[in-house]
Amino acid sequence: MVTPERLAVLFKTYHTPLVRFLTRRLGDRDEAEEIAQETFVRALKQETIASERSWLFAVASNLVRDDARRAARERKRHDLIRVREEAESAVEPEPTTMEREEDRVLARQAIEMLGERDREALLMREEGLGYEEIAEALDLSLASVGTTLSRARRRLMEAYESLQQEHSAKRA
Amino acid sequence: MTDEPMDAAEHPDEGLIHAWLDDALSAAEAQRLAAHVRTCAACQARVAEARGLIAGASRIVAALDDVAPGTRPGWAQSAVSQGGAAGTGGPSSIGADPARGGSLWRLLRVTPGRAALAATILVAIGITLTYERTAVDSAPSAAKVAVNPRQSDVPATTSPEGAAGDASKPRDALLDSAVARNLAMAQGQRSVQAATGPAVPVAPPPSTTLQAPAGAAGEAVALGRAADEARRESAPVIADRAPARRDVTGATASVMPESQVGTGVTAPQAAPAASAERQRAEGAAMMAKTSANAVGKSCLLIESADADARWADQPFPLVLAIDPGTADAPRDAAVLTPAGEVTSLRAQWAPRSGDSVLVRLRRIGYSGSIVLGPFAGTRSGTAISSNVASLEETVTTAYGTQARGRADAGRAESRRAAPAAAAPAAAPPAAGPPVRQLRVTARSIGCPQP
Repeated sequence: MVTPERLAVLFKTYHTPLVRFLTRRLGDRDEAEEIAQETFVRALKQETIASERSWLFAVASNLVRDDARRAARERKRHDLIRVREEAESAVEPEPTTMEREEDRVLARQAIEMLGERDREALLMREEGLGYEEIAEALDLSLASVGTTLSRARRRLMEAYESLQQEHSAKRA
Repeated sequence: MTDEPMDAAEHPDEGLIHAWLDDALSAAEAQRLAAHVRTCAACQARVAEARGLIAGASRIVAALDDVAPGTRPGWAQSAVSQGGAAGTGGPSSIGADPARGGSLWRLLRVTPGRAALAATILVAIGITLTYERTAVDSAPSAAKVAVNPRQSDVPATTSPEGAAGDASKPRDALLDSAVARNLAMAQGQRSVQAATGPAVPVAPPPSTTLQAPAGAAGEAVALGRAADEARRESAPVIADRAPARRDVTGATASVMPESQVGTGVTAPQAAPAASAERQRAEGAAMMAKTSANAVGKSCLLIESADADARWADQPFPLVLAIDPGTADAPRDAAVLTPAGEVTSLRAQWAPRSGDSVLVRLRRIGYSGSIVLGPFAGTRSGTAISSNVASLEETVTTAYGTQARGRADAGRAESRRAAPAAAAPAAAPPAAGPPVRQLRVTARSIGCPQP
């Protein structure tokens, strides 16, 4: 079993990037922290963990997949409430902050348009996981990781640009 | 070989180019590819495109972390600058603008969705408690509540007892006696709380056509039937078309139009039998449908065998008092001592797949949860909690000092020995209890009375 001391090291090393990965994946910080917490709880039950970072990210991805439907409902509700909040906001946002919020919304929509495997591979890479770790976490061959990432990046860019054009056309 | 240009068949594919740019190739492969790119204009263009895709994708992913200020209500703006390490224990706050720190929403762990849900549940609880109070309050006070909850002067309180009736308003004696009879019937079917008000008149024996339902859902059904009886009994003074309102437990109660309260208005003496029977059938069908998925308030005793076991800053054992609601939806819960005293913790009970349960801790400054496995007489699981602002420091200390209840005695012994050596060397924990991860068991109990 993973010792408490070892878990403490894992927690200290990987909690922040794991939460960030999950936040980007889910769009919900609270949900991300819960899943990260559950991931570390599960780590306690392991006899040994050979490749710790890839194991943690793999388990976290599996938990996200298991909770995908519930997470989607939460995101939808948050979006609706956030829209209402913004309409009732007492603070007039500055033009630059509005652009950043639009960027974030477009980024969220674009990343959701990726296939699940492509999305997870890309987010893991952005968290600094190596090709070997990504291959192990997502059960891919090492040779296919580069292809997966290239496809994910291209599709993400295309999706984002397409959404940006639609958004600009609506505002025009 | 590396100096010779590749022919068309040896041009690297896009995946290989990305792997090269991600520094994922071996030295030999990277050198060969670099040499080819130097001499191949087409591949140079592809490499440039790949660099753009990598940079662009990184920027888009980074935008997911960026929540612009000014998009939240004005009252939350003051909390925006309260610090960025909301839950991560590190300087890089996730999901927040580093320039302005974390938001009050995230610090409180209260998302807008959960706040709306909590408000809805609180309103429903208030309505439920209002109806519950009719079963234990004194007759005059309860009669007032039962007749028109919306006009009730009874202050909102979490305790079913101790309703402060207002005796200054005029009473309808016939209505009071009818409601009192039905309160007595409901009291006879329930054993949860004892009445604290004046004695009520002796009640007639319960109707043989109504069987006493069991369990928490049964309480709700009993309340609904009691309300139904009250409505029928007081038909002479209440219009026979009083609207029915259903609370979250599935109980059905009637809401009196305010104009008819205490006015002594006499409705037609002979309400059509068919109409009354139809209403009764509809009410029974509605109660049966809603009570199937509705659950009443329930309590769990959560215990841990670990010494000095705590959840946030509260020692085990703890009682989780889960609010009424639907069985498959999250419900708010109060955290009590075994003696029934309310602690500073709140929680949310959320059913998960496979009959497992996630209990989320809600307490400003703390983060935690309890994960419980499927029910098999009892539930077992793991409780974890931490002080939000000092996760990194306290994890190291906590796991060096925390005793774990493990089956492996040898590992337990070594762990007990380790803290004695680790504790002095560990950095002093920040304010609040360290991160704790405990094995716990949970079993259903009757809710304690304070």
